[in-house]
Amino acid sequence: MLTTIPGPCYAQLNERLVASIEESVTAVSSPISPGTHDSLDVAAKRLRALSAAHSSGSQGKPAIRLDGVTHYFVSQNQAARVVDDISFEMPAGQFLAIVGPSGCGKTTVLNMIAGLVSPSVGHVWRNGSPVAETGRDIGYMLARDSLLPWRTAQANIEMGLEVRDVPRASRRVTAERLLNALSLRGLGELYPSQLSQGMRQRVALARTLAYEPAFLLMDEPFAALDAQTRLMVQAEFIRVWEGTGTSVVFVTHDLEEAVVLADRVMVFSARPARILLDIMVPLTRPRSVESARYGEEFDRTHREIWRHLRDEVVRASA
Amino acid sequence: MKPRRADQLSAESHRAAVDPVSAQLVSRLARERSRFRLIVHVSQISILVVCLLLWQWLIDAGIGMAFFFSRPSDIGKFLYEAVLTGSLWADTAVTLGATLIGFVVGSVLGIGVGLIVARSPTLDAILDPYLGILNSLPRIALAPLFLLWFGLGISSKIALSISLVFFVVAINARAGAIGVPSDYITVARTLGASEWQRFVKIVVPGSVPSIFAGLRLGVVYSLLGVVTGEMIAAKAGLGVQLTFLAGTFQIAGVFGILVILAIIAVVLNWLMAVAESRLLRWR
Repeated sequence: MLTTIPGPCYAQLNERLVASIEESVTAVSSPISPGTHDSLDVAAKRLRALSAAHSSGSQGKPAIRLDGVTHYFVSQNQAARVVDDISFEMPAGQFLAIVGPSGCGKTTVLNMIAGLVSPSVGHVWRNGSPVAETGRDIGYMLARDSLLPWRTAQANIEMGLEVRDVPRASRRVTAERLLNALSLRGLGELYPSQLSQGMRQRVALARTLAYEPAFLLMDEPFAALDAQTRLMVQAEFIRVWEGTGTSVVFVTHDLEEAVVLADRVMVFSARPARILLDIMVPLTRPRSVESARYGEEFDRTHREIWRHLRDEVVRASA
Repeated sequence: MKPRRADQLSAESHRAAVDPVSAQLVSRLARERSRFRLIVHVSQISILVVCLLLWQWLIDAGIGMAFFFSRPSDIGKFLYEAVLTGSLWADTAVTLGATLIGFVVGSVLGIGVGLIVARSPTLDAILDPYLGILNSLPRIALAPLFLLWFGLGISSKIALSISLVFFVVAINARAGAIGVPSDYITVARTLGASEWQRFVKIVVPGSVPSIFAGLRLGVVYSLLGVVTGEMIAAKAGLGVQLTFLAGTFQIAGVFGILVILAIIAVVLNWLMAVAESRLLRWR
């Protein structure tokens, strides 16, 4: 399996603890005496400090950091602001989902983290160093599978390893393992044109995971799948991802997907993108994608996000 | 239910094929397909035979003029004698050799220049009018210059062939490279591929379908260039024979050469089709 990074995982666990404590604080705040509330609050603060100390101790810097990032789309006679002064930090191992109305600039932010776009103003850091080019520590995935049609499924999966000069035998082992993990057993020799949409997107996922990137940057990766296939692929993805310590930034327009998959959800405003809401998802890990969407925590988080998003969607479509 | 093993699965699919209705449907489809092929082939051969017989009859009956049109039996005799005496081998070899050399050199240069131009928008914009003008120029008009520069040997017709092949291949290679979906390039960048790796692993294979469209035209153009060059002036080649036979009113010979040229063109096209289906198996 993919490597585990112990440090950031602890940080992530701590953060989840903080989140769950905070949640219980709000849940029980009114009927309980102020004393209890305070002590819980203090515990939460201490844990948060601990977690921050841990992540800064082991990693030095947050895995991803955006500082005052603003971006313009420049055309012949005008420059339109698409991203407006976005700053945030993300610890290693976290799964961050970004939701927002269509065309709001989510993809641009993702592409800036990937190094495909450089911000007009501000800075982006990945693992403590400023992002200049794409680099070799990211895995990037789109809604369109964009598999190379002249390569077999297996050769597509091996692409990232091939450019890293990994020997053929070891490439094959990795591809084989991922084919099995993503229910693609025996399909390695087929060309993309011979595969269904769901299979192709699984191959694209396998290609992204094959070289064990430290960051997964995903732009609505499952949006093109039909509803049932999407559920299956989401579940497989979470099963493969959990325990890897890989940091994920996941852009989606599907609120349910955001809540079910992510540790943390950010809501972006209509263009130009600003952060409207930044909340932790109070669901535990390991998580079952199938059952996570039935429950009080899910409903509450979903409602909270939608409350912020609804006006923006109206604004964006107006 | 117990999990089924692979051999049991294959046994089951075998049983499915034995199912009487499905077997019947499968064999009916096979029958319909072979009937279709039979009709097409029989019709194709019939058309040829009917035309040849009609031609032969029109001349034999004295309705057509044998002097201008010859007749199938005389053309057959010419070809038979040419094969027996080997009188046309040398000319065929010269024409075929020049066609292949012109095609290969023109294609390699065309692919190279097309891909390089496509990689640099600046270079592309600078060279665009020149490539356009040279490509619209009727290249056959260059033949007198090539004859002056390269003489009556094989070089001048190779030059003419290259001047035709190069542009059609270059233009297709350029279009193919520019048409490679930008998603492929983006994904390759995020996979950590260097500029060179992106070129070799994405741009080149992505241009292959378009390059092949150019090569298919190129092989025809190469033969065209060589034969035209030979007809204008050369020491040897089927084009030389063609003008000589026409000039001396040996019409059966003229048609005989046309048959040989048609055979060469068909074989070259077939070779291209085989190469293409090998390289583009993924389609």
